[in-house]
Amino acid sequence: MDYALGDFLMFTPEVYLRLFERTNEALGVGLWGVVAVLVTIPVLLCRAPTLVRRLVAVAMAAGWGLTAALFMMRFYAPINWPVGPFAWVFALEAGLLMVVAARVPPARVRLVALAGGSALLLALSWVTVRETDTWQAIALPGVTPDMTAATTAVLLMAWPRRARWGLLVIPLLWCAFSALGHWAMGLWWPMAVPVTGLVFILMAALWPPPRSPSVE
Amino acid sequence: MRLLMPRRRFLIGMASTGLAARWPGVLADSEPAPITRTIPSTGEPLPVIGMGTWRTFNVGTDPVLLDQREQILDLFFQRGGRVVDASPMYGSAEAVVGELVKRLGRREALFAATKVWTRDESDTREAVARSEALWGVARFDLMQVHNLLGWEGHLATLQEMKAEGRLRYIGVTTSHGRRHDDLERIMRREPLDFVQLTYNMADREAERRLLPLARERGIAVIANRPFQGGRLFERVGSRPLPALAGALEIDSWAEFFLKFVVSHPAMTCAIPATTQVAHMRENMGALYGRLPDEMQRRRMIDIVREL
Repeated sequence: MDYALGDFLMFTPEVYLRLFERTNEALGVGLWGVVAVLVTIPVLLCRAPTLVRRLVAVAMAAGWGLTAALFMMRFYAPINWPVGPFAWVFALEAGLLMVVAARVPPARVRLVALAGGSALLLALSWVTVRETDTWQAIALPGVTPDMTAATTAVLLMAWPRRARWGLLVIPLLWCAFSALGHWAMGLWWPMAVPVTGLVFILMAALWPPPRSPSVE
Repeated sequence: MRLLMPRRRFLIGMASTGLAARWPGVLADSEPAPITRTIPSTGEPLPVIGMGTWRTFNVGTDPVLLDQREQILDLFFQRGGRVVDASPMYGSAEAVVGELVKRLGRREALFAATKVWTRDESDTREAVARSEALWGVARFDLMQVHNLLGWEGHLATLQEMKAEGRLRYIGVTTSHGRRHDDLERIMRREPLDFVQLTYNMADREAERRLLPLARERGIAVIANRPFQGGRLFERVGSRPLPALAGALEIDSWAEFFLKFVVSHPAMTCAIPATTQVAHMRENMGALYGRLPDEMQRRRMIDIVREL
């Protein structure tokens, strides 16, 4: 007799997937506010002047904070105790992003890159819908932890490397933890989100710096 | 695919329901008695099928899943179950059980068993108090040291608490066949009411030393992972039940596996866990009818080995 990875898991996939529905239910009409912010971010990155582009980091910070407070602390931590401390780490990432917002603006991003990144992230958001057969389980960046971490890694490619690396540590830790959890649950499709997040984090760590933080 | 309810039991149930509706009281005396085993230290009888909560009752505050687990627990009590086992390690399981027992008004039927799970050996009383608050009980029927974690300090305090009347029974647990040597030493040395260990048709190491020792020392035994974490079902797949099942009034593979476990003479209770009402119905089937004798147990082992 020996332990399997699944033996360390204290909840069932059913309970885990319900977290997505419950979080979206709890947000109510606020969910549309999140969608509005998510639609605005590419517009800011594509067209806005330097000062306004800083708001992207503010939005990311808000997303990390919302994810920590709602999905993680309110719903996930009661069934999975390591998530409680992780929620505080998410709050730390939100704080770090606010520091970055104040000090380093992101570079402008080309439309084609934004379209590609958005399409990929949208597909990832839909994985939990596919798994549960209800759109109410959609996993939005800024609301659910895997999508928040993966999206952050993508967006950080618009920042200079020195600002980027420190912000990749927490997404890396979370995506590794989450991928193991999905593996233990046997949730192969939803596992694509943290695994893709890990790929994005690796890309963001190696991605060449933008030519200028403020000029396309 | 496992049937939700065997046809024979369904027809009997339908007929019984009709009779009971027409002539209440006709069937009152015909309900078969559940199989029980006595706790050696007191002689108190316990139904041989209890309920585990690892994973299955850790549903947090989800109202949909709370309602669904309430149905499972309700059926468990209706079918004569009493022993519910949890642990602080199982996330929200203790709070969920406490909430649902309160909803169902079944506190009197419940044999509440949980565990102390902390490395801090001076935290025993506080840990018990936290669990009492979550379960909504004034006194636990059974308090166990989880996976022998900090067992020396915890067990000493639990013995004091039992002497004070704050606990009815005390014990220690292991799982996955881990630390059997340590468990054997503790069983020889300490005055335990219960031990909990892994025992099922595929994991039978406990038969060699621990189960005979439990009989010798008068210690009740709870079997966890009676389905080997579900792997036994994967092993049988969609195979039909063997002919032996008919002789033992066994209607499902769940009943087959459970009757094997609880028919060991040292065994007091098995604690299968489930998230499905239909599976709870199958599990509770093992609480009734006949248990296999030694020869039939050997045949059961051969059947599973040949799969």
